[in-house]
Amino acid sequence: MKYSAIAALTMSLALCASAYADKAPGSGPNPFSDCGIGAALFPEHKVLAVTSNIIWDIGTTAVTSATASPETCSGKNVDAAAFILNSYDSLIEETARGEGEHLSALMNILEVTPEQHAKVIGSLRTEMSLHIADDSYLAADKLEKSQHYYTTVISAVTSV
Amino acid sequence: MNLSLILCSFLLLIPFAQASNRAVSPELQSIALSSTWQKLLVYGDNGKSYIQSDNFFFSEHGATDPLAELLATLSAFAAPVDPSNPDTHAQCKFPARYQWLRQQIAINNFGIEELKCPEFNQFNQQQNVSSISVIFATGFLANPASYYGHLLLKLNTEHVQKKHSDLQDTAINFGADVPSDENMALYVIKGIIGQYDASFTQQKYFYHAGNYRESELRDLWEYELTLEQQDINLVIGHIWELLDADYRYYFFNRNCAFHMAELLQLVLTAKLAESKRLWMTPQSIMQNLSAVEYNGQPLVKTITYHPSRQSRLYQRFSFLNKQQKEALHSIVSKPGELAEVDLAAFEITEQHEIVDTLIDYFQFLRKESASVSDVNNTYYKQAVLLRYQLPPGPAVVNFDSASQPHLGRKPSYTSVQIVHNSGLESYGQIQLRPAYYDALDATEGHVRFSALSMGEVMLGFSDSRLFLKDLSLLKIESIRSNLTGLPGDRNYSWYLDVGAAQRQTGCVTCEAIKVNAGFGYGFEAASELNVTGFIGAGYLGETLDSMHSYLATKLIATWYVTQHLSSRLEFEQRFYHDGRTDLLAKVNSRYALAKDLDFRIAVAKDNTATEFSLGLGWYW
Repeated sequence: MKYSAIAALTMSLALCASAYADKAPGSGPNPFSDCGIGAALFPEHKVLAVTSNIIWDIGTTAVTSATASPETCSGKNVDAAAFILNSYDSLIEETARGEGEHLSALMNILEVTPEQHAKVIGSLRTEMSLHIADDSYLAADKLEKSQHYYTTVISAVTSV
Repeated sequence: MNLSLILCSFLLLIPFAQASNRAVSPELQSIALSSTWQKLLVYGDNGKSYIQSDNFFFSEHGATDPLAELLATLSAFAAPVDPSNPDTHAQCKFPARYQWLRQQIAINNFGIEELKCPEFNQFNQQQNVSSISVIFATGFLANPASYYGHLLLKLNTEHVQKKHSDLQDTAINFGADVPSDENMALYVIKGIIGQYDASFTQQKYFYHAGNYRESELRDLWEYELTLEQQDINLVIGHIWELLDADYRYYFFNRNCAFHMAELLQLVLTAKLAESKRLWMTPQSIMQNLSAVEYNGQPLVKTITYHPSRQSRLYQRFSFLNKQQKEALHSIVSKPGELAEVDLAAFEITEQHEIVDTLIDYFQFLRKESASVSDVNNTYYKQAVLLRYQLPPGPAVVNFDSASQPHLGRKPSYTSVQIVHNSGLESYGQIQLRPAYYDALDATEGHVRFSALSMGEVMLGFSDSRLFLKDLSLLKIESIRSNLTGLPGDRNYSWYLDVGAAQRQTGCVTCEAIKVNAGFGYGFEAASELNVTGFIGAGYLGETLDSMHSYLATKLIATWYVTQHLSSRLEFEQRFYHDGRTDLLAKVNSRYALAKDLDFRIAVAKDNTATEFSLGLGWYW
């Protein structure tokens, strides 16, 4: 089973490597668009054998971030993207509250220091309240919403 | 692998080949017979390994011969390593065997040199496991594989050093490998007769937590174990060994509960799962875990409750005061005006509590995939926006439940009853239910007001004869309540009962095939009192003739009067295809004399007779 995850990651990294070459140095790839994480978590053809008790789990081909190299798709960013995609509803609700176990986990994944939490979450909260209020929000699918949340939180982390 | 490596391997194997041909040292014989070595090989009580994969064994006879496997393992550990790919070496593929054997014998004497295993080390260091938890997911009546609940292991990372969240921890799952498009009926049958492979898999815990708590609305219970670091390391190494191993899956007794228990038993002396049992439930493993000692102290260190979205909604709602509940009812009665809701009359924390309940409520109601076509998606968005418009603040609710799964009774039930029938002589009755619960004893770890049993049989006996009173191959009553009283709180219910039964209450020679199914709505009429109405259809007849089919209406009221006393009233009107009608009425009461002992009284009446029974039952 661990090989299937590694294989999925290898595929995503193959996509990532070519995309990353066009980026400005230091800008880093977006795991959703550049690393193929959307395809990895929502494959067109589901794996033939899935574990019986996680039939409905979107994460059967989840990416193992530890294998991702910092030069291509950063491990923590891939981790964060997968986490956001799987926990989106909890995250937007906890972002509104300003705290919660999922939000805290995301801050940990992105290696945000406790001292920076308030600033990052405050910025994220302001941006997400505008985004959710937008008329186009409801029509977006989970992947699009997650990608926007990812971009917003990375931007908030980068700006502190 | 180049020629020199092959030659070296061959030369190193010679001493072991010779060893197998001459007397093996008593030390090695003793190790081969030790329980830990045989647990590492995943042997059952029959002396045969549960592992189906050939690559799990180094000896051709490794699945049945622990000594041959020991010798072959030592040989493989001593084989030269391919420097370009050390992870394929035996030591790296079987770190628990290596770790344990190193403690038992001087492995240097066998020409074994310790290797570095990048992949395993990465797995091990990434986890940095400081403790192990067993996660119990409560039963889920929408999926046959999850009727009896489910078990996971969570590898808890050292939080203090890593500032790590539980959600980031790794979870270990065991399940059948089922094709994604498998037909559900085929899935059940193949699962029962052992037509699926099964395996352990690893995944981040947040995938499972999201799936169980948010999608399937199942509560999770976490039992953290008191294990020494050395034993934790051995279990981690063994998990690594098992991730590529295939098992044969049997739904009833070689399931997640059994193999998770087997995995933990590697470092325990007490037995968590009895291999001779014909069925094994996750809850019974939790009960055994809680009764076991480890190094003179309870094996279970802490118990933590992780409520589902549904449970959070109900608990949040129950904590609201009267004014808050009135405001909530007012809002959900006019959801189109959500954007203009004014909660200024409440304190900020009270506003938080109302809006958090609203968010859970619309999250619970909405069908996300329906997007804009489901208006509840709009309401959910507006409820979330309300929270953004308030100052940030935590959701201060201490979610709790007294329904800890280990506190429940044992899963199997036997009852002896005395029956008086108005149309017959009095007779005795024996009831056997392998698992799991009925509406009157659905307590800890079960779905309240509901019923689930498989292979339940009731036999009547008198001086002159023994007869089948009732047989339920599968019986499910999935009863839902509208606990909040809010519109749309899911309260649809259903039942299914397949087997055989006497066609009439006043007959002992009228065995007939029975099939009953129905759909209905239930609500909480008062505290601990559920009333559910059904419309259904069924078949009850000796021959396959349409005259035995019927439509039915059914009303059930179930009341948990006290912690020990529960009662149920049931009326069913059947309208047969040939014009007959039949009115069935039943009253059942149960009193729990002790955790695993109960007393029941029942009255049943149909057009032919009235029957009264008293029974004493025990759980095992």
